[in-house]
Amino acid sequence: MGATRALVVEVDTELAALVPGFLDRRRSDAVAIRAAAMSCDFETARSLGHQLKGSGAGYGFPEISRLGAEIEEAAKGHERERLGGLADALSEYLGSIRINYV
Amino acid sequence: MRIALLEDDPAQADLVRIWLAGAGHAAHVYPRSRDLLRALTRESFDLYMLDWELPDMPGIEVLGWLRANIAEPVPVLFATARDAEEDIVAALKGGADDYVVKPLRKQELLARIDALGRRARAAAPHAERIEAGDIAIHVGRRVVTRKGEPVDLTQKDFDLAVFLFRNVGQLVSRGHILESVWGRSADLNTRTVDTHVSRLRSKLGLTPEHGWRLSAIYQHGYRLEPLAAASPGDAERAHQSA
Repeated sequence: MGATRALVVEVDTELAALVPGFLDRRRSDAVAIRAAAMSCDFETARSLGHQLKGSGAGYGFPEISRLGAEIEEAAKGHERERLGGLADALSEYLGSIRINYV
Repeated sequence: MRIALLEDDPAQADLVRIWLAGAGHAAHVYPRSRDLLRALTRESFDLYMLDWELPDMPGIEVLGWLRANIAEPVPVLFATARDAEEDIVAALKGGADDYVVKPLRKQELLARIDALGRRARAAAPHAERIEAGDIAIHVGRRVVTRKGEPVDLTQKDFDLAVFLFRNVGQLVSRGHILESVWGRSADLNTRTVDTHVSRLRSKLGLTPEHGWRLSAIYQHGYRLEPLAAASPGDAERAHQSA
């Protein structure tokens, strides 16, 4: 059985109180984006992607911003399957990180 | 600085509020455009930081409202994930003083805010010495004279006098006064402001018979203004170096 390797992300201690809630909400976002893709609600997906793009890197998670930008772009292009894949990628990323406060 | 932050994303608002607090600023968060516009009937700020995409009214329309309805040239910083050239141009042409694309970077954001504050202070008629009618305030020396005679003021009364004379003619909220004079962490209520304003009115003769009106504006704050007919040329503020 192969152990999943954690991605260690260094985050400013100043944000320690905010980060757990931030990540919980992003997990909910991944679910909502997947649901939006299923129902072809591209505006919801675009808006969520836009917010992810804007907030991720500020908290120390540039990967969330990168995925957010892709989600926004896929939603604008009404790319349903790509959106589903990006929602999965977001979930996977969120499940793989370990925070190291510095 | 006292900063109005128009931001509907709680994660973004929390982040910016923590960054600003760490740099000594007080951020007042409004998640909807209409919340901010409603607050402006009773509040005043040193800087507006606007998001673009909001649930009720786009930030670009809020910018237009601010420029059309707020007399003072308070700096506006756009902070948005919209990075298209035409958006940046539209905001700057619409009256924004700066534009920063999200994701925000802490040090860059704080430096931009400092730069905007610096420019606003340089543009404002602040000086080391403020002269207004028979009142002169030597800011650096912390001395106030009236008709050439020194007026004995407490430290807070002096700071309040400087704040009010730097904002002659402007409606300033009690919250703005409180944060500017007592600091953002001051555990005081706005009645403290009323008490000090009353004392200052008396000590400096800020009454109509002396050519001044220091009015309490219901549910908002105060406005200090010269009565032009009574003493023409009042509120002339000199730009002199100390």
